[in-house]
Amino acid sequence: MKFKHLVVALALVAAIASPAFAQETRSFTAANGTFDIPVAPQRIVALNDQIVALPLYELGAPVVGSAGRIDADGNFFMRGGMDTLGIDYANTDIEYVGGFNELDVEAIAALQPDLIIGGTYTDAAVIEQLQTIAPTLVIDNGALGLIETLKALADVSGKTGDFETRYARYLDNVARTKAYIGDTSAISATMTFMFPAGEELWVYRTGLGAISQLLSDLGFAQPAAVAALSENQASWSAELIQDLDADFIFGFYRQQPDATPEAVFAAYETFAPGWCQALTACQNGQVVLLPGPTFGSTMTGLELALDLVETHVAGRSFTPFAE
Amino acid sequence: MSANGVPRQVVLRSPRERIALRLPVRGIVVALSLLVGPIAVSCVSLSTGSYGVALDEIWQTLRGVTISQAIDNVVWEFRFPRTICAALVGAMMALSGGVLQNATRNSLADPSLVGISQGAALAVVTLTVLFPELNSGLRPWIAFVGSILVAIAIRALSYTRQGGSTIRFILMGIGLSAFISSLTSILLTYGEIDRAMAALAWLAGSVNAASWGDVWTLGSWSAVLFASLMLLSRAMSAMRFGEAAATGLGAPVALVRNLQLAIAVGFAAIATSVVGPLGFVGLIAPHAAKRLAPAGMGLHLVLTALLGALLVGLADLVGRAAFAPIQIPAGILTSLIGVPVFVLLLVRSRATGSH
Repeated sequence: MKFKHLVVALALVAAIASPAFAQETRSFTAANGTFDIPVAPQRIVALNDQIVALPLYELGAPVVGSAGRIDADGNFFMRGGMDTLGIDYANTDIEYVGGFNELDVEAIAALQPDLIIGGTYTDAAVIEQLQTIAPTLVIDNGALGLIETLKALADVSGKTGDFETRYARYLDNVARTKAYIGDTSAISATMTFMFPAGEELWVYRTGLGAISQLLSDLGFAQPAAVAALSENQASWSAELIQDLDADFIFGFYRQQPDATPEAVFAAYETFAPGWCQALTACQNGQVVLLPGPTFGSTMTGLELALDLVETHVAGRSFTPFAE
Repeated sequence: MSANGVPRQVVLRSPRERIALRLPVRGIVVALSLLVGPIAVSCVSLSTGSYGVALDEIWQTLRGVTISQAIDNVVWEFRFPRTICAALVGAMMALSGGVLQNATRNSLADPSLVGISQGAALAVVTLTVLFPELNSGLRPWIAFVGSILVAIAIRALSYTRQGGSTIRFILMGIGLSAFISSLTSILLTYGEIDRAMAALAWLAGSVNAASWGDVWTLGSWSAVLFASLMLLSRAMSAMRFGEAAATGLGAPVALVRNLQLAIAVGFAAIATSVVGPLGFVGLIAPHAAKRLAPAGMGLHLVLTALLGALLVGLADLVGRAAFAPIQIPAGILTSLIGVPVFVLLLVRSRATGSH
């Protein structure tokens, strides 16, 4: 009898020690090919914090390692982690495995992952190396868009049910907000991204994470010059700033530690002196700076963006833009 | 030094004394000492990393004993090829600089200063950003083409009726290098952001994704180019005295110079294609080799290669292990060391009136 117990115990230990061998697998086609991946992965390493680790963690997937960033004091952090989900390396079991473009492959191997997930930003040669550790999937978030990327991450981590529940709630909330606003297609919005130094103004037609997904879901219009962009985003000329005028112009603060609301507004002035006089949105107080997490690629980011846009558009009066 | 002021030398002769090789004793001692450097760095590299593997486990793994698949991967697939690649890339970049300096008779010549590395970089960034669907295995060939095109352009632009001017070669190289870097920046700024991110990692000059395929590429090209260089070394020695003297000594000056440029470009292009641009190795190593031991051209090249291997091997080891899991690309560390050396050389060349 004792021997039987010993055998069972050893089998259990072996199963825990080598989850990859004990797991049921299935086929999954990612951007870099088709792989056999665990049906319910137990140890996932994310090769990007904001785009991969946060949405996985939010879904309850077992993330054991993630690429991240280093702050001015030399501390590791996950971009948007504390803002969006209240998580970081210090208060979770997630290990730092290098910068997203300078990964420590040995640190990843030491975590014994059964699934590794990166994107097209990861060096193809590193992806090949990582295949020797565990199936390494490239999820092309640029091509998929935010929602399809979240769906793909939910799918590979075996959390599709959790995602669908939360996504359905989000869509219900979007419908509620649209009901408050009325004809959303009659309202135009421009999405901008300005760094505190004011060197360049980036304008987004699409692809700016949660906020651009939300504005699209709400059915907002865009200024003709922005809608006509062939790429997702463009670096804008200061001389053409009036082409961005709309009912609302959105920008961000807190995307870096020095990006305070004042610093970002000052940066617009540095970039295009007298910009506020050129834009009726600014004259009417309808240039809205949102906190950085609203462009993060998570369901939490989408919900936050929805609350903020609802507050600014449906929750108060505004002066419509007239050409 | 012997009593009459000539460095002590040993002469190696072939059995029938048809070939004799005269080598300075100090040069041989330095070369043997330097050989220990890359070997020692390789040993430390093999036993250091974020994945904890005991020394005896590494030894057993190297002997072919599989302790675990993970340790096999770490030692055989990550550390070993990375260590060899770092040494080979260092030797190749150093030799490229050494040969360029000889061909142009300018002690500041370096593949990263005269645009050859930038040509490779622009070609690879173009591939990564504009044609992401193309196989990344094409990278070495594309980089090679980029470097060759830049070298041909510099050569053509610096050519005068009096023939190729070395100072024009350097100045054209620096100008073209700035122009090419601007094109690369445009691609990185306006290209799809994810592609630009992937290219940026490579541009920092890192050995972190080295594979056995890269070892094979670097090793085979190194062997061919180094053998060609050795065959050329006698004529290169004559070129040290200037073109007129070399012509007088019977060296086919134009041919030798063109061959040297082709070999220098080859070394830099292949090395850059695998790990990205590594600045200043080609500048530092030949100078350091000269100061360590006065030697003939052949031995000087050997010393240069060994110093390059040591420099990049150390840069990679420090970059990946000193602050792990933070990874500092080797290219950043070589530039950190290289810039002050470059300034020092500039100051010295101004003081002595040489260039």
